[in-house]
Amino acid sequence: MNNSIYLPHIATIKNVVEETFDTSTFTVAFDNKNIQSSFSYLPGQFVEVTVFGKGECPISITSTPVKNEYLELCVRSSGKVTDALHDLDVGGKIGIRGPYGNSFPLEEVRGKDIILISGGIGLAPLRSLLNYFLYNEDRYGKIELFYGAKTSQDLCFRREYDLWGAHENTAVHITVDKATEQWNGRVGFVTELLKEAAPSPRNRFAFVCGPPIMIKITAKILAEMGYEDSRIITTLERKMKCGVGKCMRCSIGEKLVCQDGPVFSLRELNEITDEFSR
Amino acid sequence: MDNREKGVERKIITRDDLSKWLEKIKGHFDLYAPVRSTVVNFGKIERVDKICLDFMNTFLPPKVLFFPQTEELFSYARDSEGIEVKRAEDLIKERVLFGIRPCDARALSILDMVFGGEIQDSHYIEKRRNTVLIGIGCTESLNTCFCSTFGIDPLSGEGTDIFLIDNGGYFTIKEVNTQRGRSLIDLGNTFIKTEKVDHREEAGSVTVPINIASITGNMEKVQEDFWNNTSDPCLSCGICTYVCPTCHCFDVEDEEKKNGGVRFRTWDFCMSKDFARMASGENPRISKGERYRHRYFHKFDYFPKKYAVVGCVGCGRCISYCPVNMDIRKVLERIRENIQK
Repeated sequence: MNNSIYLPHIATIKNVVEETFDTSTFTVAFDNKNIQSSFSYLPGQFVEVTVFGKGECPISITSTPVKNEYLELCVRSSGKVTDALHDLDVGGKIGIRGPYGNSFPLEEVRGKDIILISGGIGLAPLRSLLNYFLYNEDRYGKIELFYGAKTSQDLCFRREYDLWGAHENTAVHITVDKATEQWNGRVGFVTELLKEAAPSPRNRFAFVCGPPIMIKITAKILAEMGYEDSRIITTLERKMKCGVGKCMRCSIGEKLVCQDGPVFSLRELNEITDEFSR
Repeated sequence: MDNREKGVERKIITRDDLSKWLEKIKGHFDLYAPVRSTVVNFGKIERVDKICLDFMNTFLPPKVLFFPQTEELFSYARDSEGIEVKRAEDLIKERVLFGIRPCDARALSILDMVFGGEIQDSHYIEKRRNTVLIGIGCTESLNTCFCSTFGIDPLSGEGTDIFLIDNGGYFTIKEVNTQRGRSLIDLGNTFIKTEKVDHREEAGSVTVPINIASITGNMEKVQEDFWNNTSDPCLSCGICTYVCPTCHCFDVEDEEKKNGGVRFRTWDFCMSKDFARMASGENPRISKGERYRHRYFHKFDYFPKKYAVVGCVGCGRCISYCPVNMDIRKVLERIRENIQK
């Protein structure tokens, strides 16, 4: 009688790291220690985050399931709930339920080379995957990240690129659309960076996450390079309310992003007769 | 022409005794039945003589009793210690819903699949579990009825616990389908009699069935411009989804009160421009045509693919209440023609 799938667990904000002017990474932990220690998830899954009085929204988990002490959520301030979340400080109370959705195909890509292509805050879900690969280096081949943002001020997780690149058999390529004074790195779209590098599709999987238009263009480039559509994996964003397949907000064709996704291969998306393929 | 079967043995209850039976039921359960105010709707019965038996179907479908238009999910309270959440206290007393029509009974079985399944929506499921359904067959019909398109028999009590047929001066107890139904019959055993009657059982005439099998599974063949053209008169007002017995899209919102508040859900509709619009501003269904297409696909393509059942029951409410006279039957016929092109 007291069970409801909509009931969040109370969690506390333990740390906040400012990524960009509108995006921060929140470290949060459940107040109930048993819930925290038993909370298991996989890269690609998301949680429903509550700011009480404002509502709830789906946020991908950006931490990697190696430590059960906390979750990390990288959130852009872009709506009622996320704005309110950004107004909270360390010690602030929020609600969390989940994890929901499927995950990245971790077993299927075992032994394979990996490229991760990402734009802006699209790095958040891929960071969970990237760190998972790095924690389990021996299971995977070469890991390469192609990441771009509008300007250097819009790059997320700047403090971590060197750490990632320091791993053996790992490469990190960063670019910005528009150079500013502080930037001496590469300038240009991430799609151009990818085209130049042209990583061979042999024995390789591509993971793509970013704005919808960037996903579409990248998928097209990868297809031209010879990547099979089953080896191009993306994770989608949709408006969501319930997170558990009831409210119909996140439908894309007959699929629900909250239940059947958020991770889809391009093959799966092409089979859906919906706005994505049109 | 008299098409009565003469002298057949049936379990019957007279109209007067029906009231007595319902009175008795009301003593044990919360009783819900059709009540007429400006329109006929299901309402909680305080006085049995207020029940409206002279109705075709209710304005709002019975989903309102299981998935109310607004429903509290939980409340939260703030104090110096932090925040505490408490699930909304839901219906505890068992209740009886009297007067559900076969189309609406099918609709509930469809909603059961949505709110049930692997992840159970206890708010809906508990209300369903606590409700006994007494159905009434349709010996008359509206000119908007088209349930037979979906294989629904207006004289069959599928999905109900007890099913009655109105024979004028008396009701026939046509089906007692469950143990819970039998318990209710036991409550009325002094009123229910087995008698030889001149029996008439004839369904109201519903719209000639549309060949729905030729539509589901072929929706993808419908040309793109069809949806823009067909949806042109639509005002996106959403009344079709509100009166629809199977529409279940909802929104979730918080209401802040002093030192706490509540989270509730409320009906929403996919024809609304902002329904799928994301915080980023991206909108996967930006045009009315796309949203209209989505609505039809949900009922006639996604539902069959996911649950092996069409998401429409032919109750005709959306036809009756559309302010611009859009008729789902005509749209389905046009879809069928378009597929064949």
